[in-house]
Amino acid sequence: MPNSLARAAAFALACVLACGAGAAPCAAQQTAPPKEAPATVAGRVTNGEKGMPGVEIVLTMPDQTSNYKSAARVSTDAEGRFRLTGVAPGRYHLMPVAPAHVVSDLGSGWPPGRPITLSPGDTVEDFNFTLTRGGVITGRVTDSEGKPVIGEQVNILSADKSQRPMSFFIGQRNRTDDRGVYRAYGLAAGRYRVSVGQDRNSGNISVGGPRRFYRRTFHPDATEEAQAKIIELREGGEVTEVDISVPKASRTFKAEGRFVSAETGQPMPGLQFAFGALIPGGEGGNRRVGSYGSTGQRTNARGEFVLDELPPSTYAIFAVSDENVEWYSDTATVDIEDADVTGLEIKIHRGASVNGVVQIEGVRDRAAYAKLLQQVPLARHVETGNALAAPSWSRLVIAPDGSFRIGGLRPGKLRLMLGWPQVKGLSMVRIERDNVEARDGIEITEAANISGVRVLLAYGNAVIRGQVNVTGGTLPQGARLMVSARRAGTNTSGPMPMGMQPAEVDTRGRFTIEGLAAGEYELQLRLFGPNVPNAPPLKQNVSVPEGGESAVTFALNLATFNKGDTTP
Amino acid sequence: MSASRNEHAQPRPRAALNFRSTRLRVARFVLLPLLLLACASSATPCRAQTDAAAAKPNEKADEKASRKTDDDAAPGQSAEAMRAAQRAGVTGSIKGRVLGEGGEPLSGVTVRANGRSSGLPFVPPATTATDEEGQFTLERLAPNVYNVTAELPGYVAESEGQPAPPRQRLGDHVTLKMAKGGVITGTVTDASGEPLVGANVRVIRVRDAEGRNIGGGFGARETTTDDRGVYRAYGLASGIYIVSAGGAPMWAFWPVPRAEHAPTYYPSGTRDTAAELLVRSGQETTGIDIRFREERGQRVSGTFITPPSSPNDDFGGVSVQLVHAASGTYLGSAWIQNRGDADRVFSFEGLADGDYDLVAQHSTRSGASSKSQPLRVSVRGADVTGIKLTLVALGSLSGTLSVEPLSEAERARGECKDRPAARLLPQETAIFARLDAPPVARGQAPVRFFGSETVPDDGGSFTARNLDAGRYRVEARPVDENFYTRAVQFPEAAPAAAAPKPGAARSAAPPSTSARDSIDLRPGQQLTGVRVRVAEGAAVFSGHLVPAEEGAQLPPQMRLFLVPSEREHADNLLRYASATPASDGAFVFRNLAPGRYLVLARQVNIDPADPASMRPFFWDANERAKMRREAEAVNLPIEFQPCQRIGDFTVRYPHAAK
Repeated sequence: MPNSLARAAAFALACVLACGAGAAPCAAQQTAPPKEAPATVAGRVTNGEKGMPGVEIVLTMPDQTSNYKSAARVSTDAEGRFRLTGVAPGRYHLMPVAPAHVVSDLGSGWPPGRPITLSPGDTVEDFNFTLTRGGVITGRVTDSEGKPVIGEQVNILSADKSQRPMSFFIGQRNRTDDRGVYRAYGLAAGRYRVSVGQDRNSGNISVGGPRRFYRRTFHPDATEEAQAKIIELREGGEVTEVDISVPKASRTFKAEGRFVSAETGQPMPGLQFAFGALIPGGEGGNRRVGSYGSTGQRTNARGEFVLDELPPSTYAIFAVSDENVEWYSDTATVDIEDADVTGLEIKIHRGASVNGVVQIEGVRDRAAYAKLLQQVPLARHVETGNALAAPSWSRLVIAPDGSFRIGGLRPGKLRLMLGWPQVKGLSMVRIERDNVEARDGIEITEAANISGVRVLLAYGNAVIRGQVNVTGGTLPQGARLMVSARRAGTNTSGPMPMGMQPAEVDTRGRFTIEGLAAGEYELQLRLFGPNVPNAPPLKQNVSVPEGGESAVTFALNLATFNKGDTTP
Repeated sequence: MSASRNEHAQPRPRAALNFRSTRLRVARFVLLPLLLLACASSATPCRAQTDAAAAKPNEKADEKASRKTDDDAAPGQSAEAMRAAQRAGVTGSIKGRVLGEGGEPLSGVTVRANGRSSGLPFVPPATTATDEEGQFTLERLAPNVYNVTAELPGYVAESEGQPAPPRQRLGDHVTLKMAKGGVITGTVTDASGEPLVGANVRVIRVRDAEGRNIGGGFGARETTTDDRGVYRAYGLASGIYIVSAGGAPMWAFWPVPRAEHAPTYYPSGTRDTAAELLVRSGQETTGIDIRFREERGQRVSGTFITPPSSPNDDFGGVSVQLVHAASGTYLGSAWIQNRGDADRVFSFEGLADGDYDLVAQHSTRSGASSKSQPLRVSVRGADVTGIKLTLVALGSLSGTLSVEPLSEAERARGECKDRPAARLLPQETAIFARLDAPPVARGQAPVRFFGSETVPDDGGSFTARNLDAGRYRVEARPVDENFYTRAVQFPEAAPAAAAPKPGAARSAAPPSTSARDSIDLRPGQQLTGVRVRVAEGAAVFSGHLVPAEEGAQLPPQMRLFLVPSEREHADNLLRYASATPASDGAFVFRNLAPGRYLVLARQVNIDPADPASMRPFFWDANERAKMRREAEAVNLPIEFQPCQRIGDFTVRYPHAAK
């Protein structure tokens, strides 16, 4: 993930100009006012038995998605101890900033860190981190003429079977400098393959980036992964002269064609087009879109498009819109190997429409209701069974009377859901069509006009606080416990469950689920992580009063849980 | 993946897509304001040098006359659709070469043609790469005014000491020169002498290689230290630099060590005591070792208020930009969501004591923008909290451009005789709405915004958007040197007579003196009815500025001015022109209105970090009068007939007293 972030950041620099194209929602940085008694978290950072002084510890909000910000930061003392006081209660990630070291037992989410839930007045001691000195792989990348390859990303891939996350800092620094030299550090001991260049199966795309690329080459000069020389890295070791010789850069390739109306065959001017790279992993062994993007370019008056920034890969090309439009786009798939592709024709269909209304339970005040209605991030998705279908980003526009209209729907199953940014306290209860619950989505047929859809939401600010007591062993390394709350009467079947409110259980077994509407809830406790057997969840029912707080305790016996037994 | 696990996540494909696309967009929105800040300013060089036929005006005109377009309309369309397609579908290309310092071709260079847009949607730059011979063709370009730029990792555009490059249009051929950039490298250690790992290192260009101040904007470059504390910043343009370690990077997706500390400047002090380093392209400056001072940085935080807008329109967030006040160096942006129940709080960490300027900007997807007045914040040993920035709607200026060719009679006369007809599409004239900001009091934040640039559509309609309230002047810059600005009329001053018909033949009368040369724009005002007329028959004037005494040196920051010698044009701004001589003294004035002028060379003191110094002299009536008196004393008269080319003119400085 850090790699793709870095990539996004790097090419975003070049593609800023596409901004007119509209915007995607991004979540807020929540800095809750400390109205409750503050909490304290303390611990020690050690390297072996020795305490590590001067290591910064950062506390971050788990729900930030923009620029990385810390909620608090402190340095370890001479013994490696730290103590963060005056922390507002809430859910956080905590981590030591030690890029040259490998930090054990971090979560795999973003922002990086180990999750912790702090209740009002809490004091958490011994929240310890063990660091080991990371290893270094360094070398030089040159092209077939012996010239340095400058500013190119170097990929350090684990050759071991267990693909542990290596470092959160990697994406930022593994670039060659003006001499072609790179230096990857903070690496866990293990076996690695080192490569530069474009992997045609990475599923990554680069928008607005350079119009040249290097074909993927492994150290020392292998194009096939099987031929790559494996680097053995000991703990804290340094392997030098891991040089790579790449063929000269090639120009990127071009895919061009036009968009036409499926009905009339007329060209479709002014459509924003996008492309994505395909990777394996779709349903039934099919490929799916790994990532997609757009420069903001639109088709010309003749409906024509040109994408001229494609390194070898297989691409999906389609038209997109973040507005509520009256059409949907077919997808063209294109194999780019070593030549341009021309003459593509992609059809635009008129699509079906849906009329409906949104209603929210649990808000009596009229003004508050109207305001909330405007904030409802109602999003849509049509399941087609086709993993290559053009994605639709559009957020629905809801009128002051709660009504909405969706146009340009492709045939399939329409799912309506709450998207981004989340509105705290708002959850999905039920979707109806003609007063009958549409448990499995709304069936959309070609060019149909569907009405009588009702989206029922609930709003509330009740809280469930819980405790999970683990017995019968310790949680496996990297495992995470998640609790989800389902309100009685909501539909949990299908891939778009209603009203699910997940929360992560912290290291002390605590969890908090906020923003709940009053009602009966079923809580489910699940264990996730590498090498964790797939067991049915532990369940418990709890009644939540309006605006109130309920407490729950789970007894998790690992000895029996892993075998699939459940305790009442 | 089992079905039960799906309850915690949306179906994989969609979740993955959303994540990536959101992140991508976040990043690009963070960057947009920065780009606007730098590129809206006509003074900030953010493009590669182009030296296309700079000294060969005649050849260029001939090339224009023979350029063609590669238009071909698709069959089977209605007549209306056909016409629309023909109008909008006319495309052409810009060709060129990219060469290294020794004139060797550079291959694999990414070349972009950055056009201007009259409105939404924004047109992304057309991009290509050079071949083995360094050649490139940017194809399928719509008519527009283009900056052509080149990018190659480790290289910089060779643009030092050169005047601003001419803009390009379809059919042009450009040569871009690049040189291997300079390097600054060293080590960062903490108080105990241990390497500081993964810290942000900022390399800031404060002046050019000749010691002239440059604007802030893109002056800063960031890199990080490795596990040995070593950093290496490369691809640096020639100039004078300062280097700092620590503090918050412009943006980060992961925790950065010492991000909340105040930056330490090389060798080991504050910005005021930073040692300056001269870097030349292709050279390496080593041993720039920084001893990090573990000084806690301060935090600046606050909130903002945006003008009301529909929540469904309000997808974008608000960006708050932080600029180092004294130098204008851009330090970073905070990106805050502006909808739902979000806390509208921004904060910047890791700031050393000093003065900073904050500006908040917001765009909705319908294109409505708002901005706060720049606010100066003084940080003195403590956090600064509770700042409130109030955004007000930005305005726009729109109008029409008419292009007036020579009449047959005019073409048959004098210098215009036998000259091939020049062609200029409305989209080939850049229109600038330039803010004439009043001087700010000491300690107040200046407006680091010089206006907005746009191009008209094929019908000549233009809109300059995102304008702060204030006094504006409108300038037209035709890409074709054979055209000059005949008139700029603001609505109040528009004559009662019918508007001139575009393309109609008219007499070669001197430019009209408009009753007013500027207009006041209220906050959020959408002002319409600006009329700009450009006419064929411009003069071109080139030569050299040389020291009066043989062997002497010209002082730095010389400018050449043309002032009208006719009394009745004394206050006609369209008859004032300035040119910056190249390092060898070569100068060229293009797009000159015919008439009688006086030539004047003057030393100027332009400091891009000080917006007030960027204001053209002749905008001010007193300065204008002063300049005229100086020019009359020097008495270097010159007259341009329509279409006239005067070259090889020598101006000696200091002028001999008459």
